[in-house]
Amino acid sequence: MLMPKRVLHRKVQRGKRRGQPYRGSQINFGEYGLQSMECGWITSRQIESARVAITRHVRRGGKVWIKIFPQKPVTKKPAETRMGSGKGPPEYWVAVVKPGRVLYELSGVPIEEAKEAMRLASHKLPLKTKFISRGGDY
Amino acid sequence: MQQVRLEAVKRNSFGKGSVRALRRAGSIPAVLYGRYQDVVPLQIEEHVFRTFLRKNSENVLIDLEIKDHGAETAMIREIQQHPVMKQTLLHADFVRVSLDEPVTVAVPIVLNGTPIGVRESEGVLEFPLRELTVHCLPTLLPDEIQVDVNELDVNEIVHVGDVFLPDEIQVVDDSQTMIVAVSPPKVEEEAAEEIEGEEIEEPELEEPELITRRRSEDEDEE
Repeated sequence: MLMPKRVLHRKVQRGKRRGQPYRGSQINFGEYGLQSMECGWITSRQIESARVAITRHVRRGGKVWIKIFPQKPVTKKPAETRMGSGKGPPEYWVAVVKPGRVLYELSGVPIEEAKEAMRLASHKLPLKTKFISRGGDY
Repeated sequence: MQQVRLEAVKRNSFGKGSVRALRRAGSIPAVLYGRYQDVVPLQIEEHVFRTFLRKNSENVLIDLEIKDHGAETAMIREIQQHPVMKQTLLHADFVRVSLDEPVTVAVPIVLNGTPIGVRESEGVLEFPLRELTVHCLPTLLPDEIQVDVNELDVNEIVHVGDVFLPDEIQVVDDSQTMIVAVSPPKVEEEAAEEIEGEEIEEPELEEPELITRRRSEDEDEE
């Protein structure tokens, strides 16, 4: 699963998810993409699960790019622990996603196959997403 | 290359409030600059500009007719779109050009045909460089650069240096940069990944290395 190799801080604050990404909102590598329509956190497990869904469907040919990385640690207090005595230990890693962010890119397959692969991937994610393809922007 | 006419109006309202009102009214803000002359804020009707973009490429030479200002020869430098609703245009930048002075522009690359490596060996077509930066007179600027990939087999690459262009058009990109390649299919690798995924169900979360730790250790040593 994806997680950073080195970090500056072991625990970070939750932060805000408002705004829109002006970077990472276009297809850069492949022909097709899966774009988020909502903001949220996507865990490293969900990212991996969606990637597996895409590669299993595409099978032959095709190349997948993951455009997000879980850089934010999320902490959790152990079960049945009294409140206080500091922040809990890091539990998992998430990628902060804003509306418009391209999550995955795909190339080398027909459009119908790409649509189906992205549909299967979207079911693994906690956000509303849409299928996009290159060109036809205007 | 022939010039295409586009009408615009000089804009007198500035700031996000008035610009948002402009967008609600069906126009988009734009700006014209370059060649050491004054910056001219503009507004263009959105549907007119959208139709213009559908008909022409982004590298087209524009005869910009500005009301109460006159005509200017320009090119599109940047078009801003909404990150979610791509059809919504937010802003356009036009740059003045002289027909006698060369310009540096990114021209889209179009692939012709299907590579033999994809047709027969089921290789994967990789196309990382989609635009080629060229330096030439605005009148000689091509709409697109066509690259024939019919004879491209698995593990073969087309570099920037392999593209044939007329002598008047100078390529700015490095000649060794890859435009298109056909890589072998990765079926076996995927199968291995699946088996790995089944075996390791609950990998233990290892904490990453702290960047600050090394510095504190160095301080302790001192």
